[in-house]
Amino acid sequence: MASLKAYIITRILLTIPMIFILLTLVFFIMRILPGDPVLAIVGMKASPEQIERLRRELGLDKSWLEQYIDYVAMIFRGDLGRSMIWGRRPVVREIWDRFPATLELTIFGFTVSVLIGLLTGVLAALKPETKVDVSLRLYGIVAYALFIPLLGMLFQLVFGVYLRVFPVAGRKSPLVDVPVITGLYTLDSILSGSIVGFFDALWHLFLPSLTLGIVLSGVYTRLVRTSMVEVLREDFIRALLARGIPRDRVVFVHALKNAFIPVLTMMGLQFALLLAGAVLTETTFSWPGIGTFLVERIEYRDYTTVQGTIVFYALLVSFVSLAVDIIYAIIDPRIRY
Amino acid sequence: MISLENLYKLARRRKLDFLLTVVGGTIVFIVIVMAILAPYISPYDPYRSVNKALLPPSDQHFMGTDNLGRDVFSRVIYGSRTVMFVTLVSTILSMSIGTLLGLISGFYGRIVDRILSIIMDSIYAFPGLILAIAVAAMLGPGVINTVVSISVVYIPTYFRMIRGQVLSVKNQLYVEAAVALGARSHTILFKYILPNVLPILPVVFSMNIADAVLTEAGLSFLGLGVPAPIPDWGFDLKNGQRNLLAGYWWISLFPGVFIVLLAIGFSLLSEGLNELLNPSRRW
Amino acid sequence: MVTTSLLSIRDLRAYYMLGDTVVKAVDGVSFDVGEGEIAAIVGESGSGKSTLGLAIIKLLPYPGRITGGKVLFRGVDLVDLPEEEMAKIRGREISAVFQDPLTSLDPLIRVGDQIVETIMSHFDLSKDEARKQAEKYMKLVGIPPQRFYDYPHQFSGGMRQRIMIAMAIATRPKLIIADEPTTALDVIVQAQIMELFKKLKEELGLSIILITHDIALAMEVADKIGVMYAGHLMEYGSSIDIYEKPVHPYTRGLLEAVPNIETSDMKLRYIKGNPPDLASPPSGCRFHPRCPYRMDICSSKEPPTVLLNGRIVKCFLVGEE
Repeated sequence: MASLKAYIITRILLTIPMIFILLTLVFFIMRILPGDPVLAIVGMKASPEQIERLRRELGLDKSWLEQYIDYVAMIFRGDLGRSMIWGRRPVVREIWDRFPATLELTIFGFTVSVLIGLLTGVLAALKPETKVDVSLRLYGIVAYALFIPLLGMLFQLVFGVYLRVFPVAGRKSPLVDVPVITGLYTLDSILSGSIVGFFDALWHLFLPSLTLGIVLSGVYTRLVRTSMVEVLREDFIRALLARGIPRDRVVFVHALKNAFIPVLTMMGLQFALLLAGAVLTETTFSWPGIGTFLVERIEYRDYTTVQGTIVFYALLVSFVSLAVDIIYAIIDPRIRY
Repeated sequence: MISLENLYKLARRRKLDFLLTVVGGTIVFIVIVMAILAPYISPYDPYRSVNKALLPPSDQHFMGTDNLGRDVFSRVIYGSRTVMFVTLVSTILSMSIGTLLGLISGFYGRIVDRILSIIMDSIYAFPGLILAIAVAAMLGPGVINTVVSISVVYIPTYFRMIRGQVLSVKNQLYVEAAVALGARSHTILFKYILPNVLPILPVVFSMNIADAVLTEAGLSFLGLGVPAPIPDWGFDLKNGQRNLLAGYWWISLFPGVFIVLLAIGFSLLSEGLNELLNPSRRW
Repeated sequence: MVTTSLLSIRDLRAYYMLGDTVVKAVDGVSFDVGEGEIAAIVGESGSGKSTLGLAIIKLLPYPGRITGGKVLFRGVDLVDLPEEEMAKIRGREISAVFQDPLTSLDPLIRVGDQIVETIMSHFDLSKDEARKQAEKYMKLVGIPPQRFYDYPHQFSGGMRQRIMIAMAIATRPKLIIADEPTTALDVIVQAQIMELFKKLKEELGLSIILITHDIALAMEVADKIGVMYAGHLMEYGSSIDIYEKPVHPYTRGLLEAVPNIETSDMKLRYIKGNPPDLASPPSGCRFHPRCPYRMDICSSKEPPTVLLNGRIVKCFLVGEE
């Protein structure tokens, strides 16, 4: 087990350059690209004094190197600056207010996509080269190519406008009141014992997470299928069957567990797709998460908030890919030694 | 290599893959024809209000009119120009820069390779759409800015492919021999690397465009793509959303369906070509 | 022979259906294996010997199929048995050990748990009891029981094969099919594993079908030897008979190809030519293109299977005599 610790430490050390590169990339995009943030914020008609004041406030009068050091130092203090509009709240606070909404959506969307992906992938792998397999292969292609806003709007049209069975926007009904504890409404309603609140939260989550889940499931269908077909061809599967282990157990315990490892290694990258998908899902369903927040603040030219949000995404991606690799090491004993 | 006869044999062996390629190719072809012939086939001016707003599909307006009374069908046809231009140019841009960097990294190795690789891996790990959003937000709206925002996302794809190729070719004995015999870099490039990359290039390229179509639509859906009033499927989809809940589905639906169709078309093309050109790799 | 037959294979046919082509990997094979007997099936790669082994336990890989014949195990025809019944026989009555011990264990599960799983799927035992059983069999095959909690990748190839054998015998089957069990191992380990097989045969009264390409190895351990060529069983009989008086030209060729330090002749002998493509095997006797004693009839007619002093031979040389 000592070597598992060594692996984790190495992996953490490897995350640091990745974070630096991403932070530098964000810095580069925000400061060095040709758009002038100050002009973008105050507009062409601003007086030179106004421009100068803003420039100083943002630290844009310093050299790039100084700006970069300030920027990195600030992030490592856990500070992302203050919003430039509406009460000038710290960006970190603004993000924390909205992050639970995104987290809840991505957890549910992820669950939907993995469930669909496992089901379809295993089904296709068990009947390779048949009609079932071909249809699921097409499903994989089509699901990936579905444009989230289109699928979301179709759902809104069918379930929200015509059938009127699911809400088309927001996270909860106006009259349902559940105290905010974690910010995850499903969890909060359980913690405060509100059954109504729980079902209300699920009811609102249904269409957005289904939309996000279906679009992302295509990738899992393909990954699970490929990986499962390979595992089913392995010697140990035949050996298990030869020992009289029931076929269902061989397929759904031994094969699936092994097939899941390559899927898991891809999950870090899948998480990036999930986050990007969440931005579109949130905007389609007026879901008050980070995605809608980012887009809204871009419109208001809230420069620090935009930068802070992108930095937050970068940190999130780095930590999740770290977490995925650690989970992978724990599941696969071959990694540890 | 790929002769017509071989291609025919492969096609017969894998009817389905051939079918996928044909269906995908047809969809792509139709959209390209739409884009080229837009002024001749679109019944109305896509920029102008030509009738009452929010008219449902009819003989006169095949796909209805939008909230400003513009003909949706004409906007869909002209929208194909925007999406094809943006995605093609940005993909070619990514391919050129990615290939160049991949070659540099693969050939020089050492510290250059280390640095380029870690930068590319970081970009690759970052959510593509969000990266494009960040760049687009800083550059502001505009066709060329959209092209740049999207191309940044896909540079690592080509970088990784080319770098991998260079490294594997470099390690093969025959190239070592060629280098020993004084072959120049560009000889190695054209004689050894290109033949290996060419069969997978159409596959990667069309897969990349499928992805770029969705990213472009995503950007313009979020209002960060090409500026209004240029006809654009993603933007028009967004534009129609506010009237969707009132039942005016056609404004959003038609542009949206075309986004998905085009993405499916390029995906199928990539998928089918992959099986036909590289039959050893299964999906 | 006084032994009673545990397994009787009669005219077994196992084909692979690859679209329009049919690969006849096992094409009309018959032989018997008695209780407590080691029967070796010897053949070159592609002779259909592995397919034969998999056909007996009905685990042919797709698109393989048993197309005819009988596999009578204690009088019951396994070919007709439904899958659920067959699953009860696999492991419990007939076990198998395969060639590559490196890939034959589930890499994610501790070896002890894999043995326990095997035992528990056949016997109504508590986990603790199954564990004790597992440790007993680990000891029997020479694995220290304290390695119960180790993962497969922590064992050497020979150790893994021992674990495979422990699992194969842990359910106390009557018959083990061992398909090239030592090919992936080095010579010393190979000898150890073979000793283990002999010991198990004597202590547990096991019957073993040893599938191998190595006729010398077969001679050392087996009571009976069957020689397979291109899907046909060319000769089958007691190993002493076959060693002393091989009848079929192919068997002779195989025996001559064994390097023998006792004879002064140090020339490496081999059979000229290559084994045939099973999708379009030669007409008549499948060995005729490579046979030094080829006659006219050999290319036109398939030789009958003849019983000759307790051995089976499929060759016109015997029929004519």
